[in-house]
Amino acid sequence: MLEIKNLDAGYDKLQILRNVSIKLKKGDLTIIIGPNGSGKSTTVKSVFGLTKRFKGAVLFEGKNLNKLKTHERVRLGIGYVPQGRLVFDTLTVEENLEMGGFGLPTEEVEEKKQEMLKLFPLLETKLDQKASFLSGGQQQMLSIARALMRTPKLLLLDEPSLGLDPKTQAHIFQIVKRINTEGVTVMMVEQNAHQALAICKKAFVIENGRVALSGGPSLAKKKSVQKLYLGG
Amino acid sequence: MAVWAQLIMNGLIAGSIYALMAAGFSLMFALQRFMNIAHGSSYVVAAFIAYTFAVILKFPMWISFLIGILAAAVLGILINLIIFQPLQKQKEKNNALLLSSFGVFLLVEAIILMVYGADVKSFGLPVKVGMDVLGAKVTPVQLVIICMAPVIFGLLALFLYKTKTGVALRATADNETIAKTMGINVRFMTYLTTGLGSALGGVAGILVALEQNLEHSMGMMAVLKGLTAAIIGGIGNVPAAILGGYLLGLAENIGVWYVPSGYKDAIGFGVFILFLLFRPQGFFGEKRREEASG
Ligand SMILES: Nc1ncnc2c1ncn2[C@@H]1O[C@H](COP(=O)(O)OP(=O)(O)O)[C@@H](O)[C@H]1O
Ligand SMILES: [Mg+2]
Repeated sequence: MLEIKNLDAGYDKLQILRNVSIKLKKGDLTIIIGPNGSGKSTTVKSVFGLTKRFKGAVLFEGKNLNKLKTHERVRLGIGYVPQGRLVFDTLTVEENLEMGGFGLPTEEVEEKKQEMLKLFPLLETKLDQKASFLSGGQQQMLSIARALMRTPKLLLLDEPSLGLDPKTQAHIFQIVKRINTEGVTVMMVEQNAHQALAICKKAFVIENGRVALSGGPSLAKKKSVQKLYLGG
Repeated sequence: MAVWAQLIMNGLIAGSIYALMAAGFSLMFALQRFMNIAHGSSYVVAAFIAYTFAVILKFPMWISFLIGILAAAVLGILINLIIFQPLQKQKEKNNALLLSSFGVFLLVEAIILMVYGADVKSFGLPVKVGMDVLGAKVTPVQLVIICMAPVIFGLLALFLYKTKTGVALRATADNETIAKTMGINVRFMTYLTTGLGSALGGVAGILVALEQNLEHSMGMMAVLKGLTAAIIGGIGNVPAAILGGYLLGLAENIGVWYVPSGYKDAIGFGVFILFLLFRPQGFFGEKRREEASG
């Protein structure tokens, strides 16, 4: 479904990723862990063409994305939940949702909006409020709902649990799991390695811009991974 | 009483024009993040193109105005496409953009001077005596200015808040990168705001040309007043910039009651400097949340 192939990428002249290769099969729930600043977000951003590519390629359903603009890639069916709960602060909750379905027929947007309110009932009473007034957890829900509006085949989430209380974190993981069981392929960057490894099918460890390790949930049993990411 | 009515009415007339310019500045700033001085050329070009069609080619007035406004919009988009887009890639892009927009403005002014000459031109409307409106004397053109501006702002608000494209435009102003990842063609949105902003400047230029007259140098004052109004209101926020325009117009025209009228412009720029010193985010501006991105 998604193939990142020998990718060298970064910002301007600065190279961050070195020969990164990641392959996702349809239906996978893949997590990416790794230290701060190792290039996890850069990997995710590269899928959307938000970085400078030096070498290699990103393929989606066999199609090379290299030449496509960001908005064209998204329209192929890739959803993005960026790090830092980047909702549109100056737009209302409802407008945020509508932007997630930008370019789709009005009836479809309405339908998806109702579907999202069922999945995230917390948002129902906040529809007319500016997104900046939501709590952190609510903003993260909105960010996920926004990405789902387009009914993506592939959803990329960048540290969705970051800065949230444990209860909200658990809720987010539960929702991600549910989205995946409903057929959406998921790739998620997570610091919260314990919980993430517990729900994933595949995991990649990125260090210094390279894929240092990869494997299944059993990766959690590896000594080096335990020491670095699982607190012992 | 009558004096006050007149001062307020004069303030509203000037304010309408300032607000139109300021709305254009603000709209463009919201997406491009620099003060596009070249916006002044939309004001001049619309007036001169409308003049060319109406007076020289004897087209009907309304059609001439529409052609003038359209010309301003097309010019704005072309300037963006040919000059600003390539500069976006530069390192020191903000300085480069600001200075080159000033250069474009001067260039357009020089071309107008070359083509039309330096003498003052006019649409040659019959001089009408002022009518009594709420205790103030107002000419028909002035009445059109006062009434038309709110209608245009209403339509602009409908577009920005009630249409999908308008909301997408605001989303792009909020966070361009995230807007892209919503499937929004951000480049198109930039052209749209430039076209729309320039059209607003074009309307202002034509209204002023009708009320007063045309000169190749008429754009500079419009730039200064529009910028001042946009900054007084809160830059990048269109409704605030519009209110800033009316505030500036009223402040200048009511202020002349207290100081000799020769100081009218000084009042405006005095207010401007006070805002820069004490409230740089503008009257209605709020500080934005820092963008977090990983
Ligand atoms: N927009 C940017 N411009 C330049 N360097 C960046 C930018 N974003 C991130 N970096 C750098 O790239 C490296 C990897 O960052 P990132 O991918 O965000 O790490 P992670 O998500 O793993 O914490 C870091 O050294 C960071 O400073
Ligand atoms: Mg990150």
